[in-house]
Amino acid sequence: MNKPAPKSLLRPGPKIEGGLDAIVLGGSPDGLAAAGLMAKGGLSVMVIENGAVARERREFAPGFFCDDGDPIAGSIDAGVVDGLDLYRHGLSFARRRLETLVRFSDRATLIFGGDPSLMSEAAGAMSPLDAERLRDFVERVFDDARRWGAWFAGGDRAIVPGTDDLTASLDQRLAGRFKDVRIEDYLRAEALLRGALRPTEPYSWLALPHRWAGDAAGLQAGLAAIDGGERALVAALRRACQAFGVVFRQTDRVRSALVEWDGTAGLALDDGGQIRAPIVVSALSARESFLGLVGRARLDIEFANFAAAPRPRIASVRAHVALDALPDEEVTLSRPDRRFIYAPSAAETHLAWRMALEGRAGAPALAEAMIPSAIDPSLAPGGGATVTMLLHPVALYTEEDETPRAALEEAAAVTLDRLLPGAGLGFVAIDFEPVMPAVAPIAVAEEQRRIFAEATGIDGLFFCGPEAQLGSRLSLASGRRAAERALDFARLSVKQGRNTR
Amino acid sequence: MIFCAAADIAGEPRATPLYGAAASLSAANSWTSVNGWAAARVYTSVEEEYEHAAHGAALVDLGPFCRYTVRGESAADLLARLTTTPVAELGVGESARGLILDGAGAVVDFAEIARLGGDLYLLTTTAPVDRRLQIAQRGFDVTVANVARDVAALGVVGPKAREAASAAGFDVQSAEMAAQGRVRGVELAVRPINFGAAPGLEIVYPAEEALTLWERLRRAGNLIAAGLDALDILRIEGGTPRVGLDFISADRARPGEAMTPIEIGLPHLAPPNRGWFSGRRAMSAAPAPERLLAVLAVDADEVAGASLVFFKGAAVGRVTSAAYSPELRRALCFAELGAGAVGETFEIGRAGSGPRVGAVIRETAESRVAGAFRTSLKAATDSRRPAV
Amino acid sequence: MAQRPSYDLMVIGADAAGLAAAAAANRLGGRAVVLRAGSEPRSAGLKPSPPNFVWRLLELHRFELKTVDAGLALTHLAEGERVPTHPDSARTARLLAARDATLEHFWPDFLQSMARAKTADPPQTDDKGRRVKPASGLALIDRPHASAIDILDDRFADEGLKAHVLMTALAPLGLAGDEPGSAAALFDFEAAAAPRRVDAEALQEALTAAAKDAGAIIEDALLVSLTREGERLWIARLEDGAEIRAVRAIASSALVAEAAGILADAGGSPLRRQGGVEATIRLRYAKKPRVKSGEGAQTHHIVTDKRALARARDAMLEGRIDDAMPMSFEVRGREIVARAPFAPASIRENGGMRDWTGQDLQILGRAAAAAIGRRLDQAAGAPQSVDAVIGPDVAAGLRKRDFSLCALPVPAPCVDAVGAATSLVMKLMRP
Repeated sequence: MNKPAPKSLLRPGPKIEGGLDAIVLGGSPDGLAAAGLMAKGGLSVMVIENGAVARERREFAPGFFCDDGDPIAGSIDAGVVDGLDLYRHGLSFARRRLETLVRFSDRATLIFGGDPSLMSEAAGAMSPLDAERLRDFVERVFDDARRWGAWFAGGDRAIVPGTDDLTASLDQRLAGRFKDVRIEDYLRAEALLRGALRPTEPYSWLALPHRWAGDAAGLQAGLAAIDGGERALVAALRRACQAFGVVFRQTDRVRSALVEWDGTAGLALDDGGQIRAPIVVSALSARESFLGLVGRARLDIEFANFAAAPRPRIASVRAHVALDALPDEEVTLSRPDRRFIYAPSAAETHLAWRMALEGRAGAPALAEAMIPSAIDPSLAPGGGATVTMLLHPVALYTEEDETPRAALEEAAAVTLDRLLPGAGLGFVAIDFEPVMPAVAPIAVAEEQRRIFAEATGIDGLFFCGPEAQLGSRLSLASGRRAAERALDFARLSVKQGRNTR
Repeated sequence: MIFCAAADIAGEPRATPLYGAAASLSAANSWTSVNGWAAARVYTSVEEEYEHAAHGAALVDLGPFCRYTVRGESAADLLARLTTTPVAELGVGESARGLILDGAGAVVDFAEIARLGGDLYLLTTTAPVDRRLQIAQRGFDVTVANVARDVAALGVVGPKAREAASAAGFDVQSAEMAAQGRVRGVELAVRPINFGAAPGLEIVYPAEEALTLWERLRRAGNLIAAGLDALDILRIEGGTPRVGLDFISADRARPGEAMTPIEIGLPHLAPPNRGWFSGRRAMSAAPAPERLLAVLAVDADEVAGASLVFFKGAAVGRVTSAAYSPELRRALCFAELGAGAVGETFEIGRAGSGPRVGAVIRETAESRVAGAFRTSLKAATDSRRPAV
Repeated sequence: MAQRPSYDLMVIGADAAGLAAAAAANRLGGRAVVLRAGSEPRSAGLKPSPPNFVWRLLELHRFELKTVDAGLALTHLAEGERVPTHPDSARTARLLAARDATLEHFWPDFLQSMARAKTADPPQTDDKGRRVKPASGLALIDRPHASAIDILDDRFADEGLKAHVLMTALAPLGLAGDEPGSAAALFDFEAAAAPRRVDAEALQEALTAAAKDAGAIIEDALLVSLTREGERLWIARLEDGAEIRAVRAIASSALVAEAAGILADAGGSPLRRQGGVEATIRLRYAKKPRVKSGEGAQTHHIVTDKRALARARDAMLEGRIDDAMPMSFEVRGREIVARAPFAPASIRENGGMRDWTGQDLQILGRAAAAAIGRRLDQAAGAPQSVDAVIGPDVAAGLRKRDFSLCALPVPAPCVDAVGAATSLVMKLMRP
């Protein structure tokens, strides 16, 4: 299959490159974390990027800039932050304990400070009858979240949620619990954002404890705004990687993974060239990594079928909106550096899911927004404001489809008005990032992680793509775990006298 | 390879294409259902059928096996992935045997593959693997068809099988070649097979011609037909375990029941250095076997059902199948022994304090090959890597 | 206030499953009491006959309970296309082979794998609490949180067959088959296609007799409230003021418990109804109606394709009566008993929800009569009477749940409710 290239000096054929210990495919945050940690562990590492991850601040409308990716961090893996000394390489949080402003379908608002346990107090003020039971409830879920934290993070000897917790639906746990249904609406919204399931469906419950299990900036369930968003995190990771000697390569001509016997030997390129290394870490999707690069003929039948299993038809999309001014509304203007969340009613949620599943454009039910220009005014140097908004659920659509995009714009306008009433008046421009498939329910994601990341079926091939991650927020945990496994593998290879280069 | 003993399919068994011929020879009228097909257990007497199959030649209806044609550009790739058979090395007309493993490296079934033409292969298994093939073929450019219903499969078993076939006008000049051709207008494929120690031939041809060829062979060689009971003796003598009896297919096993190639005593059918096949990595990485299948020669004519195997008074295993071997004038049995049961001599009996009889490990055709294979594996420092 | 003696088991729900549970508890040496929740579904038509272990345990042969052989189950798709299955899998395989030759092999394999998936304990953790390897074989594909549609799509290309399987195994539970974990209902396909069936009302009578015969008490007054005292005592208060105490308590089904506003613990089963109710429609004709090309068929389903199920389920959750509501029906003499599993619990109107009215029921009945009429020989004419009723409303119960009380064990939802309730009791009563 992979014939060695002719090595004539006179007729230089496709190049075979070597001298590497590890190749990381894909410059996603997890891929970079894996690369940095492997390099720190003493391996010589090359990262192959295909340009899919934005590295620059982008001018999405004349005079308005945005940072692509998630501006909010829930829990960034401490092993990566410390291991790569990310703070020294430029990671910083603009707001550590992000305040949240929830807007309900009846236009009521709920504001609570950085500590989500304060939420019960704030919500209690909204509905005094529920104050006590909400406090009990939040405490219980927080406890569960803490106990399952190690399992969420992929620990081997962790406490696993029981079947009842795994299969429970959000409605089973929430419906009827509070006198004021808006409390249910908020909790549902917090759990459902970016997820594939509706609140009535089994397996949807665990998303809430998972959401509250992480700790951003030392606070369980706290959220933090990264200075410069995901783009800045990627930049910090790249700087750290470079500091540890990671080599970067831009190419989209990777054809396949070289598999020799049970192990990987590097990558084959389109021109017949090879980049050889005994360790390959893929941060691409499971489909691309296994069915695309390795190929079915080299995979166990069950494994290949698992990798080809259908994925949810639900997606989310992030929109950047340029406004010539923030709406003249007191709640927004008083603290524009908050996180804004729209918590729809149960009926709205159901309708939005049905429309998205039928592939029709409708108003997405859930939304989360930040006003980055309120934190960093240089994003709108000529005045005005930028809003970054996550819409969920929308149908999975491709870039070529014109109609859904037009409908998306309409939907985004409706959503914007729900989050920031009156913002539509100052509307200048809107831009969408590519749609992102919804994240799998926690129980499913955990199984995917176990199967894809812990037993790829090929020695030396490690996986930290989106399927290796639980939940939707930036975490870097799967990158760390891939690096740890790769380093163990490298150590074992040295011990067994296998030449790693 | 012998018929599987899994009784998954309910209802009346169907008639194989050769059923008419087999039924007319069946004096004993003793039938069983294999994969939903009617299979004769005994035609006249087990002793006579065994005698012919072991020392002469006998006809067998091989219809109850499952047969698939795999056709297409990546047929060889698919089969090399699905089975441990050395498909890539098969020339047109050749056939080979191997195993089908699951993703955990446990044995699903036996597999015999004959290359009938350039891109056309015939896969024979003991139990249906339609579902596994359905999943396996995704992403491969192949067409898979279950042809069990469309072909008649006739076996001639015994040391004189070749002579008998030649006498009937079949082209069987070479030992390896599965000759494909026409005999008096009937398209057919002939390939060598083994029922344990007994060599034989399998002739696969269109179902419409089922009775013609059977009759021609029977008359030319004055052959009798052998039933499942006689073949069962041959296969235990030869050391071939039976799916569903001596071990459970991994696709039908409950957790903990599935066995690896080493455990069923056939490591040579899944050599880890035979290219890439599904389950190879799991098989190579599997922990040391916990139990082993072995053939024991028993100091008795019969082995009671549900017998256990004792070693120095302690139960170390159980008998999975047994038969009286006229050749050895004693009973032979397959037993699943705990990996700790080292030794040559055992006792067999029911649980409790009933009578026990002695038994010794018996070398069979398969265990000889397995032994040689293990020796060669040990000789290589690391057979999982290609020799440089 | 009358204080009554304490029981070993309190069964909430006086439906067939609840009665069987109480009878089983008494047969196993306990003392059980059955309480009416008022949310028991009104059963009509033919139900799967209780499994053999229930017959043996409750000695059901002593009570007048006639079973009938289940014939074909026939799904009427659009444009006269029909998909049959039969409790005898070999026969089904032959019938389906007429649609697609490969089904002859895939159908038995499907049933066997589902039966295996059901018996295989989900191997999740070892005794040290660590994850263990998944089961061998193809188990990886039939994974527990898959949806029924995932599993069917993975196996079959025949959309008609998929719709039929979903109607048989999922629709009776109020599920459309795209819910995660709904694959578990397929693991029960053979029970759903039970070879023998009984009349629901006859079953109720026989089990009432069996429960009384075994010594179980059946209270007439409705349950008003349920509380707990300490760790080991459940206290129920009834409409007549009586107070019932029991060491253990179960509900006859998740549906009954949830409709009564009681938290239900179905052992982690993902098959809970997500909302809505089952409607039963009785159509009476002047003479015995005959289903077109329906010879030998006992159960009929009407559905166009699998998407129609999801549409109806969504309409149900949103509070709409779907225009093409999938339904199942049986011909019983001059009567047709139809069940529409995807009826909304309450109806959305002008932005709010309202209860069913007689007019809504008439609309539903007429829609059912029209849909069924298209599948009948003309000779039967229009039905003389149409009578529709709706089952218990889960959603209303969910809104008034008391989270301070710990959850009541209930049998995992499945088509064979009696069998499931009996096994739950057997598990509970075993020391």
